[in-house]
Amino acid sequence: LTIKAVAPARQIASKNKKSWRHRYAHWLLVAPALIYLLVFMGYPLFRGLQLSLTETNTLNPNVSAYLGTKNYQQIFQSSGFSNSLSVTLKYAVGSVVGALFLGMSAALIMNRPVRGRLFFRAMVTLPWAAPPIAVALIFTWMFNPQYGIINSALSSFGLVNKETHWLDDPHRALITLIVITIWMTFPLTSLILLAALQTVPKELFEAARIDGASTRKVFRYVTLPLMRPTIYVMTLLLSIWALRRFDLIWVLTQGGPVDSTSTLVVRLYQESFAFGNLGKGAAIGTIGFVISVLCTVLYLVANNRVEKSQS
Amino acid sequence: MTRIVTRRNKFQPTSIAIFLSTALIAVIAAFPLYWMINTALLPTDERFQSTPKLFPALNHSAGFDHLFSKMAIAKWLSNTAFVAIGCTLTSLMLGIFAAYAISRRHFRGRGLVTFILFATQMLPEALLVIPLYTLFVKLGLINNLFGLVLVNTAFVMPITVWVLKGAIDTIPHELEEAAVIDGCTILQIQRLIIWPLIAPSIVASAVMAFFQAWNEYLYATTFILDPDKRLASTGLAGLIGELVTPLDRVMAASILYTLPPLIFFLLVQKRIVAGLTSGGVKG
Repeated sequence: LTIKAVAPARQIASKNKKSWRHRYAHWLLVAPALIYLLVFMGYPLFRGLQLSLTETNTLNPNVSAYLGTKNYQQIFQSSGFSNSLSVTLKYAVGSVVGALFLGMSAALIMNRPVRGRLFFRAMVTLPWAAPPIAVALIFTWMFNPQYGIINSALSSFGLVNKETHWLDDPHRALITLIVITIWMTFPLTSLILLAALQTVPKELFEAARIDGASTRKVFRYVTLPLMRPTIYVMTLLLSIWALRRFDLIWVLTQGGPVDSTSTLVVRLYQESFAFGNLGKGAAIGTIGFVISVLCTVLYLVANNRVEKSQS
Repeated sequence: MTRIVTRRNKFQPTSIAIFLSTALIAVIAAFPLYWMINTALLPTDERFQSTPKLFPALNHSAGFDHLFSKMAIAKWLSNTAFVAIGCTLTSLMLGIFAAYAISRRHFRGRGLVTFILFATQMLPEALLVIPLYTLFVKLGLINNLFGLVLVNTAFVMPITVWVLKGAIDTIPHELEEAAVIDGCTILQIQRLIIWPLIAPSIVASAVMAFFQAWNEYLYATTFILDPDKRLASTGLAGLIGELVTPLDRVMAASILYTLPPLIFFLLVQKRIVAGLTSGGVKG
């Protein structure tokens, strides 16, 4: 009897609850993630911009003196900064172009039927999973001037002198770093390009073939345009990663020799944690952030244009 | 019979070329990792030769023998595992609900939430390391492994949301509608319908969160100063250029450090790519 009496009331309650839930449930579901990001990314970002206008020291990081734009003025006037900017640019362009080129070649090759295809694909993608510090360790050893495998292999073909210095030579350090970076980033690039390649309808290739197009022309006029959106996204991602990368560069060269690999991020770290100028470090970080945002804007513009031309 | 023969004749030259170029790329990709194993297994006197030995002496395992007695590697790895597992659980807990809401509810402000998630990917770790350092000094989270869990989660959780949202998008609405009629609550719908169906993507995003924390170096080296709490990334980086520790031991240690992400990756490789391409890349 009690059950019968309670049941309708309960139904009404649950109905109200349901509509309340229905209206606000999504915010309850999203809120934890959003608040988390606000605390650990939004606030630090704001605080970082603020710190860049102050003089703040690692010894007493929570006391700072307002400086205005003086940090930025000093940074823009220093010769080290323009060097960092050009190193960053060379590093980013070199590693992005390299990863795209090698990644695309690997994707095109892996798209063909080959015996043991799954095995090859697993091998090719291994570098992506290897931790950057382990990568730095093994390449330091491989590029060792006296005992490294790279020198002994290249010199046996007569390509370089024995005991060529790589990571500790100011003229070769950056290019060596770019090569190692490409090795690390091309696998994921090729996996994603391969996934895009496999969504291109096979009929398109066959039609082009029947019309008598050469392999090169098929690539130029069929494959490439269809893959353009994916290539653009990969370019954006690779650029942002290159601008952000710290671990590999720091552990391999610490920005040296003679600042030849001192990217913005490396400089930021030195300024903040070696010299203790958190304010100036934050200013360098802000400049890096602005460059990242500019890259993204550039990507959005380019992507828009592609979408417009396709529709 | 004749058909097979003509096919072979027709396709063999190109397929050999393709096979060779695939093999070449695979060798480029895998050789450094092979070399790490090779170096770990070579005795010291054979390592320092002008022509390095290409194949390891499999009976030499000195690198591994003293690993646990002479190095703090076990401590480093267990600290790293703690941070990585913590980061994985936290980002899944936060990410899975947010992903459901963004995928299923077309509420006002949804665009903004999506934008915020995307925008976090532009933030350089190195800019945030300074303010987070000052914040963590204040909160006493320096030299605290929980601090690293918090930071790593912030960087990887948006990716978790992205991948899981892509997976939930593919589930037909009818399943949930039926469940709602049967009187399921939102939590029940998640537990009984959504989670089992997107299990592969949950695994993939768990692996990615694990990677983030396992591989991370910048925050680990800035926030952890106490040698007892050091992570493997910082510990191993400290061995570079130092000649005190024998190289075979260093390489053996870095093999142990590389293996967990490598194995996880091989297990869920396909899922990761599918997740990245469905949610993130096509935009």
